[in-house]
Amino acid sequence: MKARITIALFLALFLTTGFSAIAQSDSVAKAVLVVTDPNIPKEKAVKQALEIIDKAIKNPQSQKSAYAWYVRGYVYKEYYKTFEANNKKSKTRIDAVSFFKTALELDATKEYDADIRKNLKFIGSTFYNDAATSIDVSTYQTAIEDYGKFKECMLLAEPGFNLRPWEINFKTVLADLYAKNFRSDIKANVDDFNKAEATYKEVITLDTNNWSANFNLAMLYYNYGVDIINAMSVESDIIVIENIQEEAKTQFKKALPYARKAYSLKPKEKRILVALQGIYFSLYEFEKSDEFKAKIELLDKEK
Amino acid sequence: MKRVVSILIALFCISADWVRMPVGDDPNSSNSKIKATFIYNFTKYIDWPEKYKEGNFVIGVLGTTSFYNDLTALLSTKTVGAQKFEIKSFSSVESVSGICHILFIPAENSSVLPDVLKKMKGKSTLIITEKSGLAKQGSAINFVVDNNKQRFEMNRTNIEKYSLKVSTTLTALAIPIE
Repeated sequence: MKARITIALFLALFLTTGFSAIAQSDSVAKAVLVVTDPNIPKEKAVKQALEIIDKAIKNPQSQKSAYAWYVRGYVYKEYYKTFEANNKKSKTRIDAVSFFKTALELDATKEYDADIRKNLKFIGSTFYNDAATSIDVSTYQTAIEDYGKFKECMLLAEPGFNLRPWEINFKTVLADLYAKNFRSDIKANVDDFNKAEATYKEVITLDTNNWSANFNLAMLYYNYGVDIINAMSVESDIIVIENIQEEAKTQFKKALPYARKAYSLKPKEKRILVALQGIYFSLYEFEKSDEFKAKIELLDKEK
Repeated sequence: MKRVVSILIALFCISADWVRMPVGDDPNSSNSKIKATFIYNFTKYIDWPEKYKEGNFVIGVLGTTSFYNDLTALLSTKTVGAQKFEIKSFSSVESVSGICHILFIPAENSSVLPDVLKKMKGKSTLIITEKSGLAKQGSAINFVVDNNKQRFEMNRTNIEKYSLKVSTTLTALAIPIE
């Protein structure tokens, strides 16, 4: 990249005729030279280069130069790497993406295209890693935002980028988090039930044969059905029992197709056998429940 | 400046199986809770003779079944009016003794119903079963499954035969058996 930028710098100097153009190219080149100078401590070099390129970009010629915006993006990215690599809210990183985006738009000859895209992929990777480490009950909103930025970067870097496996992975983990949060307090966190349900369904739409999403969605419904019954007071009126049974039955019925799907994908997985035994039992379909009970016993014997 | 910036996209450390939803509680206990709640309601909507309104309110469970433990856990701290619930386990029909307000016969012990009917003749015991057809064979209330839900059949004649009075509310919610 160093050679490429240097060649471009010289070309810019020789080919431009106007004073201002030379001045802007000169400043941009200076920023490049500073940020790549191995004799200047990295921190100092990056800070200096950032100041230089910020001034240079104000020049009207630079404003239209793909190269200037590319260098600015690069310097900002380096600043982020040097000073803010642990700052998930780094504005410098977001700015770098914006500058690379401008550079791509201005780069009619595609001269810097490949390098800009590589840089965008790198930044995308940092957003993804941040999303992965933020996916927790208290910070998942940040994870969602970072994941969105990851997608933006990757699609800028490679418009045909296949997001599907990333979507499946991220959304599965996110759905699990919503489900876990719902389970921690089913009365207070009803919204998380809805989010988990919707997100598991998104995963299943992307990947019909996703065992984890099918199983966990089935368990989300099944456990909720059991919770509805368990939350009932034994002193509840007889009318209430009818309503509670209806509510629970709705959840058990919703669980069934996903549990059956998970079973078809992993018929020897004990957890799904136990789940199906429970779901059928809860629906008072005792024969089917017993079928799965027998399968569990057989599986236990085989082990 | 580095020419190539390698892509360092890390996979989520957490696998797709990160959080396993636990399989729910024993479904038997959910089912027990529904039956226990029904039984509690029977005590509200059925009236026992005066002499049965003293002492504990006894529910007998015939045979070894987990329902006895569930019923004890769910009802032992509750009352019927001033009467405390007392859950008793009887290993056989012969061992049933003393006042028994309700006698529950689990499905697996259904064959003893005729003996129970003989034993309880002249007493005000509400006999509850849970096997298809038993409300026609002498039980007062029979738990059945209807449309994936627990419901109950009621044979009014079999209730009144034991000098018990049943409210119209309960009758209206039951599946009537003649």
